[in-house]
Amino acid sequence: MSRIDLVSINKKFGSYEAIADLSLAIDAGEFVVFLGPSGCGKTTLLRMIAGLEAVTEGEIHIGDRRVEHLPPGQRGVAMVFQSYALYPHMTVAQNMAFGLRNIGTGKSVIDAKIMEAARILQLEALLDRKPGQLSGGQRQRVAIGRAIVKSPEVFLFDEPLSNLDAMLRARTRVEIARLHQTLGATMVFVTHDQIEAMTMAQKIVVMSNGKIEQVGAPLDIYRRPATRFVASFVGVPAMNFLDVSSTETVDGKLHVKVGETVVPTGVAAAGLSEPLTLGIRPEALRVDPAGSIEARVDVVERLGEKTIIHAILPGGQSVVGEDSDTSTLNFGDQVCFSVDSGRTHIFDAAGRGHHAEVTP
Amino acid sequence: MAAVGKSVGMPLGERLALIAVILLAVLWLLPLMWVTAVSLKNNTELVVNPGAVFTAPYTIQNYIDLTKTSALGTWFRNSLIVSLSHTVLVLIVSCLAGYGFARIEFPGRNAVFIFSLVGLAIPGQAIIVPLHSFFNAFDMHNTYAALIIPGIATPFGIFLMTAYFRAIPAEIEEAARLDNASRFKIFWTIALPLAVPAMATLGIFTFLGTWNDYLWPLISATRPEMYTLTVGLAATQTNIDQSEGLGYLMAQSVFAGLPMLILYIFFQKYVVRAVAGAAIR
Amino acid sequence: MSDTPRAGARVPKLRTWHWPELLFIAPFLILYVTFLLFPMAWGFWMSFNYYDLFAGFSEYIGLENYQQLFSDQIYRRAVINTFLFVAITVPPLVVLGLLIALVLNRQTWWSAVLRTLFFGSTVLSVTIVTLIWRGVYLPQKGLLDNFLNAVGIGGIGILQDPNLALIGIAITTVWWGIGLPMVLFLAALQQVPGEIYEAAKLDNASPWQTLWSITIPSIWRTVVLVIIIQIIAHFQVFGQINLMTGGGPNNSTRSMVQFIYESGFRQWTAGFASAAAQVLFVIMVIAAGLQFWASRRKQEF
Repeated sequence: MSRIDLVSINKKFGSYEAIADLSLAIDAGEFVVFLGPSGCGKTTLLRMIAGLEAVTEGEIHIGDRRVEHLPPGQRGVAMVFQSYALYPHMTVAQNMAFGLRNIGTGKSVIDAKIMEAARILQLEALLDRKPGQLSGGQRQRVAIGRAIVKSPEVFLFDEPLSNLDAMLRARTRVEIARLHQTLGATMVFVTHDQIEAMTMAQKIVVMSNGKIEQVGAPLDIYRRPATRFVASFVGVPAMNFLDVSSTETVDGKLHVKVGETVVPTGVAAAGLSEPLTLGIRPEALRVDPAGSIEARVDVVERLGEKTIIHAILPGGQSVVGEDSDTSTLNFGDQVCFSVDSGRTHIFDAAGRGHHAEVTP
Repeated sequence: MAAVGKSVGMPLGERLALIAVILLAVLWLLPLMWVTAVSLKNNTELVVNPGAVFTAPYTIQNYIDLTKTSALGTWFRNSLIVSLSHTVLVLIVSCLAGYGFARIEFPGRNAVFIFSLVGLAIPGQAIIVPLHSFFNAFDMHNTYAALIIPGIATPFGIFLMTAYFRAIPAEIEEAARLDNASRFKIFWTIALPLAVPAMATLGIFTFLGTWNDYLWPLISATRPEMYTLTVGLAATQTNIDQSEGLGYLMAQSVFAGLPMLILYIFFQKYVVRAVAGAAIR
Repeated sequence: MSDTPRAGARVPKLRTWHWPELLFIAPFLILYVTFLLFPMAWGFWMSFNYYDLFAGFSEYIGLENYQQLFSDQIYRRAVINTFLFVAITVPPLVVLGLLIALVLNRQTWWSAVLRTLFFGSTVLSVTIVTLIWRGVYLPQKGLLDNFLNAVGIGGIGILQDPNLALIGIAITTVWWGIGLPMVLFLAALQQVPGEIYEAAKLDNASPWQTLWSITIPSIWRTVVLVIIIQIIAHFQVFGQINLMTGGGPNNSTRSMVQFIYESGFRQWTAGFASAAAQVLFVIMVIAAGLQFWASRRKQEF
């Protein structure tokens, strides 16, 4: 287990700048998730750590070593690919042994390591099968096994769950999290799925357009999104963004006018100037007969434990709020929402976030 | 509207087409059966009465004579040596280069690749004269080398293997790089085993083409002991019109054609795929 | 790990390729240039020279070979014969190939047997094919004349008749080569999704309508491709002609490739033969261009 330091990384494909001046520190033994939409550079960044992609500028350190000039095999990393990339003509055991044989590991050591990995991943019965005879979930476990036997300093995962069905994906999330606890290794996991990021990561790195938007613990990212991009990307249903037409300051806190309604927020008013945008997560916008925000119900989604209300404000803008599981609202009904001002967010013209909550 | 169901049996047009194809099949089979019949007839009997082909008695005397007098065995061995060596060399050269073009990102790769495919447009017949002079200059005619070497570097082979190697997911190879495998190790233990279907196509197509090649061996192998089967058989049929050994000649053609037909019937699926795949490119 | 570079120090770039890896393509490139490109270029040069292969003597004569070629009556005849041969060989190959493919595109044992039969002749070498067919065509003694005598027409000795010899060779060629168009059409037919036929049935299309408005349009690209492939292949006809008639009788079957062969290796006029080869090359390049265009074109319905 090693720490990873990325220093002023720059990556160009021809004249296209995929990653611009990116620096990041990953602690030894940490589980880090690179989260972002497709094309944001997260996979490129992972592949540069692996050595499958050269950096244009900058340094990569794994442990005490500077590695950006080393070929992939010499960096002490193992990678699990999105397509698993198993060797189709080799058995499960041969797949796992290949990397060890290439560095001259003795046969007895290889066998011991394969048995150990097979035990952890419950692959004992499958060792003589070829990948074509395995289910998607089994292939996935073999891919992880192939990484484990190398006892790497760093595990790299490139969207490894995206080819699994929903049930299996949830189970494998738990398995990978458990594996991290067992092995204690540094793990870097790339995904566009925020559920995977929120559930597994100790630290999430949110990326967009080749830049880091925010680095933080999952709840930190959720409660105090640094930018409007992070706020919109993390959370389902997505945060509501409402244009602020005017503001006033009450007791040092910002009160904003949205349409015809004044919404009190918990955000400190100091240093903020218009134009501003109000951000409210659906769970902070609750149906409340005494609420001040009026709207007309558009779509009702009953999830069982709660009800999601899609409604249209008098100005024509859509908002998403919540009601209890016993909601009786229907299409066309008038509805009032109240805002939990302690969980409001304000985004300035540059997209920077200001939050009512101070620390999680 | 009209009758629902009742689509029993074939429509008239389809039935006519089927009959036409069966008639064609008979036409296709007839020459083969006639040749086989002739090869089983006594030569003098044929001279007296050509119609005797269709009636007994039949004899295998022609085939017995064949094994005693014919040089077919030598030619068969030459064809085998030439075709096998040529095929193996084509596979080696094409696999190496196909992998190189598909996976090694050297500068100017696309330009060199296009340069290599230009040869697809050069028909073999267009270069036989200079090729003959070339081997003449080294006094190499009537050698196996002269029969084997031309055409080892086949743009078609490069095209086929490059396309196939490119279609193998790059991630598999990246996994091997992370597993500390060298470039040649990746080629040998990962890429090549996965390219076996393409190698089968290229190999069968090349073997068939070399085995049946006529023009180049006709020009290069002028001594009977260096003839391949095609050229040797060609030499025996020059006087077919005057020949009184028609049965013997036809026995030769049956004998020479049989190995290929047997191989074809056993490996039909692969042969058809190879020939069709090569034609479409 | 003591030799790891410090932070900030210059390090070499991560290499994506290394010089020794060019050994992968080197054997091909060397052989390709030596045995394909160089002969091609040399042949081009030869066509502007007078070559005496026996005396080892050569002389630059400019376009004289070409002038001589285009005024050569036999060459003109060879060009006409070649086009004629393509014109009477390709249509039956394509039409019969398609007919056979349409009928045999089913999963029954007898269609498998017939497919094997029709493709079987393709794996035979040209020498065996011509040996068989010269036997069939033998005047009076052969199968054909036997048959014609029996039905009262009388033997014709097809290869000895200047008006019929090319047709005789064409029949042999169709017999020999029907397998390739058949399997290409079969492959194309198997690509047509079955749902289209089910939709056509729901639309009450007759089998005839289905053939012309569904099947043929669906495989039209293959039809074009097969036509071009066959034209390219039969433009280079040589073996059948050299073995069955030697170009005769009276030059009525001499083809362009046979002309190259005869002038290069019978008269040993290498320069002249090279000029004829250049003409063939130009035609083949045009045909290859057509094939490239046809195979890259999108499927049109």
